[in-house]
Amino acid sequence: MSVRPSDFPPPWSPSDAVAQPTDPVDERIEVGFLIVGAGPAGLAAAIRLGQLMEEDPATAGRLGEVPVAVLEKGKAPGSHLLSGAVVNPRGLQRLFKGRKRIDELPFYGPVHAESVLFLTKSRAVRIPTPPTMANHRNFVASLSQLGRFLAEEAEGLGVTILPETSAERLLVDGGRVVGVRTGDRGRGRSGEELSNFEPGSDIAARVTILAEGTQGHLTGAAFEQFGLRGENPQVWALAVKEVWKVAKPLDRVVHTMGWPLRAGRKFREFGGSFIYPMGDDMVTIGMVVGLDYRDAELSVHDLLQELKTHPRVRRILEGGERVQWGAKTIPEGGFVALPKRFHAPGLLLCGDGVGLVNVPALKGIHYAIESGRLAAEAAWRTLERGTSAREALATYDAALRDSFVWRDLREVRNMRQAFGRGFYLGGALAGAMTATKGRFPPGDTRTERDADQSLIRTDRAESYPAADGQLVFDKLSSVFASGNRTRDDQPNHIRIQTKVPRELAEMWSRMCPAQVYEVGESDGDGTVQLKLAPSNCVQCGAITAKGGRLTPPEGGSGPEYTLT
Amino acid sequence: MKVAVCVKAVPDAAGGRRLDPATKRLDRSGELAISDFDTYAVEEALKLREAAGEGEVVVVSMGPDRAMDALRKALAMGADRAVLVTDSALEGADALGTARALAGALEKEGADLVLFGQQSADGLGACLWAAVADRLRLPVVSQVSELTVGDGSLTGKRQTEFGYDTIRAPLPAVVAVSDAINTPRYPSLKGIMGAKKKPQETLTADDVGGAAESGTSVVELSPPPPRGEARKLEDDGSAAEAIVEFLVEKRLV
Repeated sequence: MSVRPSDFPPPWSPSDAVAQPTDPVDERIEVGFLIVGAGPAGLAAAIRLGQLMEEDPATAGRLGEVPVAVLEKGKAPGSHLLSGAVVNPRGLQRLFKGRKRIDELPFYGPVHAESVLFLTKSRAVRIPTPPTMANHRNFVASLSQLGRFLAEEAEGLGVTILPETSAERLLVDGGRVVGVRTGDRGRGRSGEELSNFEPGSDIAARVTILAEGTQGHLTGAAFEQFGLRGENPQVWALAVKEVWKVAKPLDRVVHTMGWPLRAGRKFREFGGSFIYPMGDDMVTIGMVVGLDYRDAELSVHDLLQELKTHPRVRRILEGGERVQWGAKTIPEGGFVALPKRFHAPGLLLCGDGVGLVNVPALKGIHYAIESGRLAAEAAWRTLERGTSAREALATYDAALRDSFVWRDLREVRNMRQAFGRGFYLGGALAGAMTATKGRFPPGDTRTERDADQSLIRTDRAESYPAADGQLVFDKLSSVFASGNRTRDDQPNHIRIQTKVPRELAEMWSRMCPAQVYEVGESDGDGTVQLKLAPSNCVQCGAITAKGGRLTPPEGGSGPEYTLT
Repeated sequence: MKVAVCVKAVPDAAGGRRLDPATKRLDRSGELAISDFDTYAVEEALKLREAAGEGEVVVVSMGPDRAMDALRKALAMGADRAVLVTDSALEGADALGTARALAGALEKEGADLVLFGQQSADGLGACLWAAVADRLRLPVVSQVSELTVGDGSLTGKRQTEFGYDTIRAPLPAVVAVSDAINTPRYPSLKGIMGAKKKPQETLTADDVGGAAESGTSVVELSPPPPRGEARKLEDDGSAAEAIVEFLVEKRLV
């Protein structure tokens, strides 16, 4: 009997993340606009609000002592940001129009040349760059560094950034979002209060903007609470990447397809790798695989290690040294998986959290920024006299549907789903879609949830290379290289069934790049005990796609990325 | 009662700390964070202020101007204000130079008690409190894991290799606390939000009596020697025995 992860749902319900305010009114923290997540979407919203405050100080004065606050669960802005990244500058240009030039942004420079390679185990064949992937006029960046830059810009405009603070519950009162409750800090393993216990707080705001990024904790809850889910479920890919100091500069942006992924339709292995130069002395290399894969032995971390042993790739890294590692999921459902609406009473939703990612172009940062900017303008409209809050927030949906974000995503609407039909047929369909700007094939393809894919098992783990600490690394040393210093005596933040079929436990343990899951003792009835090491977690979100549920751990936990 | 806490902004450990071969100094270009050891001293100062029901806690530091961001964590925890001595003339100061600058700032403060963490998280020197106490001609107690203050004196339980010394000293005094003394609190949200508005003062070298010549200079850097040959045991059920055997053989147990 084949096992599906979704047959073992996590002991968690979206309503766990929704509550009414509980703090007495005089203890509640009041802010004007509250943004959850200091990523490109949230910080763009913060910066735009800051600009509007600067332009109209009289109106800004009505927002109180803390007009704009941004909650960030990571140690600092940028700590949890990870992307390729080749950035389309359009979003930033619109955000900083007349205020900043491109050469004032923290980019590693424009893309001068690019190659797309089709790999076999020992060979690399250059193939023409698909038009959707062309990167002329785009820029290489570290999203983590870009995030820190945007956070400083926002602070300079009077925005309050609150790092090490997780948003644990969406506060809903009378059918309207009124703010969020932040997570407690200083709890012990079984939830007990330690001597330094610091309870979370209710933060009340006139508008809450969720910009939580991939697998947003409150975003998912808001979808359920307000019936926002689109017709197709969201699907994700898992990306694992490393940053290397290298001996010789890489002169181009490289993408690879093919090996070590397999083309057979039954495997459902959609993905590839990216290798980008970061100036003359650094290179970032990452592997991305759709989480609708089926093989219980598939490990994106180990596939990345395997990729580095390819002669063509090894040459790039030779004489270098790995300086950072990280992992994150990417929403890949595209246009057909977008929610029905991007707002609810008191609430606006942006960025990766709602799935604004263009999969064939491998881009989403400029959409996140544009959606954040538009959300800020809608939020600001609630201050206009004569406009109801409901009307003001609805302008966000209209603006988003009228933006380049919408046009771009519509053109590539079914691309990702096509690859579920196997690599070659999917590729042909994707080509046809590009040529017809999304008009062919007609009709929208159904998406199956990642967790609905039944598991198979092959012996692919045998080909994963052994760690040598030079080129190939194991998971634990990689978690260390993410800067993760999570306190290991805090409560488990992962909701998951722990008595499951062996195949499922093995899939989770292989899938997780941070070695959070381990297959434990056999129960004698075909199931095993799943053992967890939650403090290893780098909050990539893969477990939520594949049958468990990630919730935010204590604020300040998790990776401390600086170059990813 | 007025308590001064000396803290250091150190390069964040997450990115890995690096010595710059060109300057022979620690690379401080990345993010700075308040040294973990110092948060115990801040916590202890806050506890003393809370127990007394009055008083002031001021954090004092020397470092690049960006260090003020790191000091803000102490303000978010509850310290009342921050003083940062920052001057290019003080760059690369050794313990002696740093002690002079800090002592200069502390003299202006005239605190009843000066607290230190046991050591910095980057240099691991564990000597600055002694040097500062010497310059201020104040008594010093180190490695304190329990502290009570009252009636113009302090009593510190000092952790030693074989037990505890209980030491009494008249105030004002310098105390270096161990990381066993308390559990530092998390800054509350209100604390973090209020930190920026608390008084933050910067002083130049001239304000604290001029930059001192360092008494030491770094001659050479070399990487730590390799760990030597390691034996790796795969556990097939007999690993525990093999480890015990090894320890017995080396006369370690």
